[in-house]
Amino acid sequence: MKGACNHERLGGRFMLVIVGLLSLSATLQAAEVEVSAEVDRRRVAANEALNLTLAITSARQLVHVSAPQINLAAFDVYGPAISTRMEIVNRRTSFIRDLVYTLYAKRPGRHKIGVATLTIEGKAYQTKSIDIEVSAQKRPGSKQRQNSTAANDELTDNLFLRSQVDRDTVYVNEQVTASFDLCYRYNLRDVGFTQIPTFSGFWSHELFDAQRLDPKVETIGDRQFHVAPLRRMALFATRDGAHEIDVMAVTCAIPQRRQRRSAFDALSLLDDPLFGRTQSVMVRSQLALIFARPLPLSGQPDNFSGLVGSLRINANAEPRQVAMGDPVTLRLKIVGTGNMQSLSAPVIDVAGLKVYDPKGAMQQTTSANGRLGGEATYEYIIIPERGGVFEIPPIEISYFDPERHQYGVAATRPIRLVSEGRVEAARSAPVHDMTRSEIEELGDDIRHIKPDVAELHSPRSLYHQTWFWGLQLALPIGYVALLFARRHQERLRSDVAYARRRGANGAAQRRLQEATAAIGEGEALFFATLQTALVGFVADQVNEPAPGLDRARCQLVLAERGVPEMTIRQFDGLLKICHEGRFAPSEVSAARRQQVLADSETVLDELRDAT
Amino acid sequence: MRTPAWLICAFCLLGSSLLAQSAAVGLYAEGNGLYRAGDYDGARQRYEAAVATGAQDPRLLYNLGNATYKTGDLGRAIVWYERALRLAPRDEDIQANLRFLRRLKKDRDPDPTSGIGGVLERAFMWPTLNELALGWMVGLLVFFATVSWRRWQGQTSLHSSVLGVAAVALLMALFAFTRFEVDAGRIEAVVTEVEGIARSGPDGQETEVFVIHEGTKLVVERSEGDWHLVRLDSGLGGWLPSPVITKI
Repeated sequence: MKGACNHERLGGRFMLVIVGLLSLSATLQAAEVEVSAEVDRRRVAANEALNLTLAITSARQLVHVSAPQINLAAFDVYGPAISTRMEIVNRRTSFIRDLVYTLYAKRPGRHKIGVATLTIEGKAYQTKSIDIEVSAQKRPGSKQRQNSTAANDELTDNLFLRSQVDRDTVYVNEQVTASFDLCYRYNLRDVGFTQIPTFSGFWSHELFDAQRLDPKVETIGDRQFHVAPLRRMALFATRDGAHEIDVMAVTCAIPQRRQRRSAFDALSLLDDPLFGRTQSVMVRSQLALIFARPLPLSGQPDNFSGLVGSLRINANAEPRQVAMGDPVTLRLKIVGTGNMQSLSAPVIDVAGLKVYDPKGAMQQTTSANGRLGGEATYEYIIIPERGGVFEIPPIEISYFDPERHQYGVAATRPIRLVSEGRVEAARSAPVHDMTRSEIEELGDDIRHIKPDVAELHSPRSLYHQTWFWGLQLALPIGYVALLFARRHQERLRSDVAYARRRGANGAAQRRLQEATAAIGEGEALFFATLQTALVGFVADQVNEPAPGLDRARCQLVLAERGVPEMTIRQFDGLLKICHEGRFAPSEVSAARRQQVLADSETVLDELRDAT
Repeated sequence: MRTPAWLICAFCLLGSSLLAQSAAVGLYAEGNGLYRAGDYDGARQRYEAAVATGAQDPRLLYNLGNATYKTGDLGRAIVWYERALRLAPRDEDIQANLRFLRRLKKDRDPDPTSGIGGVLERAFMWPTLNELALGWMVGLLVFFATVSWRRWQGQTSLHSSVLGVAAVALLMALFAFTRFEVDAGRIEAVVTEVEGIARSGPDGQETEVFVIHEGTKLVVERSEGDWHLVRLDSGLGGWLPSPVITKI
């Protein structure tokens, strides 16, 4: 029995050990992933940043972590900034992933940072909710709290966003100008808009939008501030009643000065605004309320344009006298203050005049005090559909003057147009269905055909004509020929030998003709003329005086110029015949003279070729 | 003495040319008569027959454009006017009718280039190719005449008058060649079907890029088979089948 009891006791202890080991293992498994949430402070001012850190600790590196679900409705949320790190404690390695959110409370009071839920590898994890107390001004409490409160008061006193409106009660569609200025006494960094008003209930026009801080020094209360304009808007209430101008919010960083703890801190770079710590701050403007009064119904014209401001209008038409069907251009110029965008083009309706939709242009202007205005121009094309005299009645635009609290009417003078043409004939032309831009160029129909012609031309491209390119080529060739001709002429003038040589042929031909004419004359005359022709040719060729050229000299100079021996002998034979004919006449027959003449021509040809 | 064969051929060619010319004039006159009588179909046929003889007179093409328009064929009428305008670019009647028809077509043309660019473009396109060729030739003639005269007078130095004339002749030549290159390298066409669907490739199965309507002028960049890659003034490009367009 005792043995049995011992066995039971041993079995019980063993079971306890097993259960203990199993529970330890389960604990280790459960502790593999831990999720926690913590804040850097639980009491903050409305404009102070609050850091919420979600830490996910795991025994191994997590591949994927889904975005946490967390209720932060009471805060403006920025982030999260994500960082990961690894820790080794007692040989145990853990991986920590931090998700850091920067929160700004939307309003003072007690707020709750809700439960954060996230799913990791199919399992859901939750953090605890955190209570936060947000103070508007001072926060009572401990010494540390008092220090914090004092710091916050200092912040609120030295940094704020001012919203101003130039008037809080206006008429519907009357301009109210809203300005947002950042007032500060710090060196601010990283200024950025986080909330921009939507101006619902207003038609808005931006007058100024700052791209960088451009402050001016202004005394507010008894202290000097840097005041930087951020935004300036012209607002026009679209309906009557009270309208809120939303809050504008801006974040910026203020450099923090550290308290010195030792003499070495004085050398620390951390005190330098560029390297030191900064405090992130959000500032909001106050809500502004505008009350828009309805426009008075009494005295409101039927054709009220809706403009609240002032107006001037004038019109000019050119030409005033036209042929029926010809266009007249009427230019309308409207200058005024207020929301000119609400104006529409006046309608001109005169029987007998076809008026096309006008071409409009609007130039918006802003006065020195920020009042919006503009100049609208409209250009109408008017076509008289029949002849006669037409009068365009005054073109009127009614408006409401908020200064005088009454309606006014701006009007043009009547315009008289004269249309020359048949008074009763109405022009029915499809042209009237066209747009304004088409009317100026389009007639009723295409122009008529060209008349009959006696000849039809088929213009051919000059580029494809041979003579065109031939002429292009002929011009430089002609120029080169001209250069040669010029050179030839100059040489004829300056080089006697050249001139004689060039003229030798002509002179020889003339003399041979004289000899031919002398065939029937006396024998001595014929042979003398022939001899002159023969010797003259050689004299011209060699540039020597003819009287000095006897037969021997002729043979010599011809041989020097490479004339064939046979030709020289023939030439010399002819000279001999001429000599005998001149000085020992023997009644040579005409046929013989003719033969000698022909031989002379042949020899001269051979000499010409040889020289 | 036998008459040379080339002379006989030349006379034959001249004779046939004169006959064709005479026939074209007759057809043109017939077309005018029918047009005035309101028979636009008949007039169009006569004018087309005149064109078929080889006559390319801008007046004939203009009248054919009129008759084509009157028969309700807007796209082809624009083709004829465009062809006439190439031969007589400053003819006011052609310009006016072309402007009229462009207003009637469905697709709107982009606004003409304004400013200095527009003025330069219009100046560049103002003269015809023949006028430019003549100007270039006259410039060359004046240049050679000036140079030759000075050379004949024995003056060999480069006078400013020679340089000036040379510069003018060179500019004329440059202008003429540039225009010739632009005109020769630009194939224009007009949509002559009521509607054409431009596709992303030369195939009826390709994606539709845009729809174009009758009368719109475009530039043919290249062709593949029965398809043409066309580009609009707006820069849009696409492939159109051959039957949709007619080259100017």
